[in-house]
Amino acid sequence: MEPARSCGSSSFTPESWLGSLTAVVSRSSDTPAGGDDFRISVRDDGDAVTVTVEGEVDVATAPALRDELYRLIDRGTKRIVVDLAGMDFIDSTGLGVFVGALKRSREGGGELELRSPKPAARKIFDITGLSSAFNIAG
Amino acid sequence: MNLPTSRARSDPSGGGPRSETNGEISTVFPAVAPSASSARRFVAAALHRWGCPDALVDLVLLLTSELVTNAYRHAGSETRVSIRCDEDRIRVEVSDKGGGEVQLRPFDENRTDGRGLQIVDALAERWGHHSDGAGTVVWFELVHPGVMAR
Repeated sequence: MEPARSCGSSSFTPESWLGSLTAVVSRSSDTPAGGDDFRISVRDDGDAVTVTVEGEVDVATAPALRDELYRLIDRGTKRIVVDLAGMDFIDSTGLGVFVGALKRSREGGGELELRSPKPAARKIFDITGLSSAFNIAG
Repeated sequence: MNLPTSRARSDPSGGGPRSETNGEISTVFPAVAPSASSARRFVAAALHRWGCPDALVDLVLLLTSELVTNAYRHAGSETRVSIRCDEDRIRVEVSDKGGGEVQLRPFDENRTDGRGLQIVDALAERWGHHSDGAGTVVWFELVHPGVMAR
C-alpha cells in the first residue's frame, strides 16, 4: 500500500532585505516546479560582508558559492559572515567549499563566520569534525 | 532483488525509465552534476509514497547525495539508484560503470574533499561496496524508526 503523503519540500519567499542587496547570484536547480532554487546574495555592511545562502548546496550548486566566496576573499574582504538560515540542504561537497574558503580567508588574514545553520546542517559539521574548525554562531 | 515490475514509466524529473514494485524502485541518472539533486528528489518521492518519517527521509537524501556525487566524480558514467523499503530498513544502492576505488579517508579538517564516505560511515547503519562486473555498487542501509535519535 502507498499512503498518500505530500513531499512537503520547503520554499522561501523574498523578504525585505532584498532592497539592500549589493549582488545576487542565483542558479536554478533542475526541478521544473521550482521552490528549490539555489540563491546567493551578498550585502556589504561596512565592517563585514554578509553572504546569504538559500536552497541546496551540492555538487551542482557549490561551484557558484565557491566562486562568490573566493571573489570576496581575493578582493580583500577581511570579515565574511555566511548566513545559512535559509540553506535547506548541504552535503560533503558544500562542506568542502566552506573549508576551502576558510583556508583562503585565513591565509589572507581574514575571517569567515558561519551563522544560523539549520540543525541538520549543523549535524553534518559535527559528524565530520568541522564544527571546531569553524566559527559557527547561532 | 528482482521482483516483477508492477509498472514502468518515464520519470518527468529527469531520470531515465524506471520500474517500481511495492517497496522497491530504481532509475538511471545521467553523468551530470544536477543528477545528485534529481536523485534526491526521486528518493524523496518514493519514501514519501511509502510513508517514511521525514527525519529518516532527510537522512536517506543526504547519504544518497554523497554516493551519487561520488559516482559522478569518480566514474563519470550514468548512475543507477535503487531504493528498497522493508519492514525495518531502507536500503539504497548506487551503481556506476567505473572501476573506482571506494576509500574511506581519515578525518582531516584541511581537506576540501573526501568527506562523503565519512558521512555515510557515520550515519548509515551499514554500508559497503562491491564490483558487479559492469562497475561499482555502493550501498547503505538505515534502520527505521529512531535513527536520527542515536
